[in-house]
Amino acid sequence: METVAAKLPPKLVQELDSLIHRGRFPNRSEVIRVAVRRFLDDQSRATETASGFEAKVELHKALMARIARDPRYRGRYVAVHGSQVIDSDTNMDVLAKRALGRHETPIQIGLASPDGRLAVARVPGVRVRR
Amino acid sequence: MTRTARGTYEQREGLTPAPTVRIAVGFGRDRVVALEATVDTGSDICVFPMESLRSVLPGEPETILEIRYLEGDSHNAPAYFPSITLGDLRETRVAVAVIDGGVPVLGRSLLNRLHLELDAGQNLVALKSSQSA
Repeated sequence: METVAAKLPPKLVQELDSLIHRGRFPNRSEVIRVAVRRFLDDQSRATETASGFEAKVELHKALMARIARDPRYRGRYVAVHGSQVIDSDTNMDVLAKRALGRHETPIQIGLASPDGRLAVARVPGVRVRR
Repeated sequence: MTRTARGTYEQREGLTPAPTVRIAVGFGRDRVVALEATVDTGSDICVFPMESLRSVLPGEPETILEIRYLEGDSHNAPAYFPSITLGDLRETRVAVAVIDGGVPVLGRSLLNRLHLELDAGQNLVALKSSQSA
């Protein structure tokens, strides 16, 4: 094993030592190994989740662009089961209330936009630290 | 019969107290989570943090939306149509976007279905069923 020197604030060291005193871990190295392993696993899961979601976004856009080729649906919100449009409306809320009560599942809702543009939700009051 | 939910003004992230109300977000039986949400008539839809909903979300999003913030930043987010219960009120198939971070916000996808009364001086936050909504 390699030795990695790292500086930690005294409060963190105190908390770390209390885990050892309570018998949860044999020594500081073991606590740090477990913590780093968990952190790396979390990071890896987050990356997988993000790339999985991006793939879903691309599939959704492609589906909506294909549906938008049909002039009946272009620019409208559509409810899709499999690859078939089962309902459409100019209002997403109205469509969701109606279409999601149907027996088919799963149902995907989207904006049939020829350029793959997603419906935009403006949330000016929401603050997110990035 | 008019159904009602009541909340209070709470000092949360912002400079001034905000109207907040306790809600339950449901994705079907046994998949319900309770949240304290801010009433925000400026938001198109309800927005909830992923960390609050992770354990109850269905596998696949029911739609995907571009979420646009005040500064013009935007990103794509999964969105769903769960039920939202607040006080005696229960609204089904409410558009909800799920994002990383932030605080729960009740936007117009829910509020436009209700009669809303706000009076900070009286600490009054009342949401009522609306016959016309």
